[in-house]
Amino acid sequence: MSRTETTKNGTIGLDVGTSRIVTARQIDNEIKYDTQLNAFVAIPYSKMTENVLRKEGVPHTVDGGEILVHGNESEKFADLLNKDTRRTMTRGVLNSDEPENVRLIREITQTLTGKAEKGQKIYFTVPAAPLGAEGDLTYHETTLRQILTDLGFEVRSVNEGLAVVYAELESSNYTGIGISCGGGLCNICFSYLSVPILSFSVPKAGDFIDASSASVTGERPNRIRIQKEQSFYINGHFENKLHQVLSVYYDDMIQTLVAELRNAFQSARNLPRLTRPIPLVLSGGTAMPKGFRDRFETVLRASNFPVELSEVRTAADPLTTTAKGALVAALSEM
Amino acid sequence: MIAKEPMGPLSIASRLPGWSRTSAIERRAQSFGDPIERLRYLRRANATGQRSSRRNWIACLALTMAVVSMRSDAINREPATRAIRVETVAQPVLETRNVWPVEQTSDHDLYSNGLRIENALQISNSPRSYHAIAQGSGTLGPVRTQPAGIVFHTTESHQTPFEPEQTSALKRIGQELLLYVRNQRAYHFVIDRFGRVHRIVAESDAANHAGPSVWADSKWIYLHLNESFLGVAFEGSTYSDEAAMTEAQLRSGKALVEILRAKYNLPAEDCVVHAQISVNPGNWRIGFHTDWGMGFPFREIGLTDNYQIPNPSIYLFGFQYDPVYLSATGPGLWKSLAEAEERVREAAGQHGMNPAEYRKVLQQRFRDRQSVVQPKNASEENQHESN
Repeated sequence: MSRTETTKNGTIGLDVGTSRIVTARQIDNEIKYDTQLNAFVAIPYSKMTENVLRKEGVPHTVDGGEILVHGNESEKFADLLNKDTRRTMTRGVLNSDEPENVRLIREITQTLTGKAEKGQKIYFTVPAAPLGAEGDLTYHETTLRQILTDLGFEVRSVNEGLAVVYAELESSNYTGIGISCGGGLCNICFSYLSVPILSFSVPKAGDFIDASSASVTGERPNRIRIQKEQSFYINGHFENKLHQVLSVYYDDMIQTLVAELRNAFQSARNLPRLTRPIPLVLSGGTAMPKGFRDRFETVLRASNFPVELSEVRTAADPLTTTAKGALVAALSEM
Repeated sequence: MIAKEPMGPLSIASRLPGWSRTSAIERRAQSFGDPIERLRYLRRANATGQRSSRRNWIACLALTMAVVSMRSDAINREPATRAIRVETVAQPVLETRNVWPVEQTSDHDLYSNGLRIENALQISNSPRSYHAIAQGSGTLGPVRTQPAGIVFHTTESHQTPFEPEQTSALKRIGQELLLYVRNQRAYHFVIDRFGRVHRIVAESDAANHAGPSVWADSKWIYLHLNESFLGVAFEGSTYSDEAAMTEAQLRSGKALVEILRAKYNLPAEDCVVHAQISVNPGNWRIGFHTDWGMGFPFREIGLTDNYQIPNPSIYLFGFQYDPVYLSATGPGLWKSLAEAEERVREAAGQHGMNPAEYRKVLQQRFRDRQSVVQPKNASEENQHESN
């Protein structure tokens, strides 16, 4: 997807996810999105290769004897070279095992945002800490803030689950539960009249499904992710062995998510008294397969969840929901 | 509908407006067709609710204090004492212990807490003389000759495994280091890996340990801490496989800090690490030096965890940090950076500026202050001072 023109106020909502980085901008009363894979692949350097990449407009960085192809193109090159892409993030935060993480995340982000104009604002999403592990996210958030500040933006952060609420739950006055099921984490936020009351994350999401399925089938996680997003249907009927394995690990993830959700709400102390049922909305790439919502609702119904829900639905566009929510948060502060 | 189990007696979150207002807020919010306008209204309404709650709380507190005060008039008169007690509870001050010199010779000093300081390498430098700047007013304080705090360093020198077979190598490396730092007049004290404390630059003099640097406590701002702070270095390296501090160094460091705090009445908040104070005015980045950017045992050494103090060079003078600094430091410091940045954003908002514009104002303030208090040779210090 090509970069869109800067909006009249230039404000950007940015979702920095483990799998993808997504921007949202308002242009002529419409929200436009751009997406890049948050991944890269290293290929051996040669002058000719670099010239071809430059000529074809493939985003890349030269690093000594290697060329790092990043963003959407990395997947094609990885497939071509029969290797896995490298990731700047894991489990929702910067990947400490990847020495190039800060540099590459900056490159990929800049591909989407460009350099800031004077006073241009950007709101980026940050995950919530897993329950009982508060404080682990400071490095991640601080580093992203610094990258964006260096690009010239005025930077603010917004909780990822809350961004889902801001994107999807205006009809309930931003009261309800937003869940973003991404690559590294599932982020959950319960908001009451736009105020985040309870937010946390569950460190079991798309990457867990991909890696677990890969270990069983012998496929590369990257290929599994592509098949999962393109043709998988959670309905109990399996076209092949891979779909059967994916169903098993999807079910594991959903069971964990629902259990954590129920425990968090049961043990929370400062919840407001609710006078009517509230909506729950699912978003993120991991929530995209057909049948996910149905399976999630079935498990949730069986879990004795302590809050009355008016509906469980999937966001209009699960891949761009959090970026939209970040943009909405930014626009509401102008 | 999923389940109908009652939620139980849950109290409303403190961030929410009162119950009597919520239905009115919801009704009013429904009148906004534009989702952005609706969210803007709700966030403002909730913020007003918070301020209102806070005002109510303050009013209650004022009323309670008035009642207490009236009762105090009838029973006993201690309002001032009460106020001080409250402040002490909110911000605990670590008391300095009473430590005194037991024996002082040209070779060594012995203190009542058992610490022996070796004097054989002591050397003089330019006598300490500096001004601090008053917080708030920005006025220059009187000339001072007593240190205001301590900066902790690592020597970042060559290391060898801390093992019995390496004793002679450890001694040789330590001795070479001591001669080097003495030649550089780099610190006031060096604690070698066996825990021996060596006095290098006389306490009455400045040492070349801090370079361009900034620190601030609740009352004073200090620039160029070579003059105002004592430099205490632990022989060690952040970048080796060896622990940055041995058990013996920890014990001696604790005893030395006790002595220095007792002698000069140094507040715990003014005992900090080099990574917290070092700045580079050439590029407006903090952390020209990053020693003890993580892992300094503040609590074990008898201090508060000063990593949590928001970095004054950021919120007072508009310095910034970069990913290199983050990678050289740890989570304790990262929180303080985020808080310092938040202070900048808040202050910028109060001045009707964006943070970038406000930082420029702060940076000009640094130039102005620096021109008043900068030592003559300070501009070259980053090239010359030790870790």
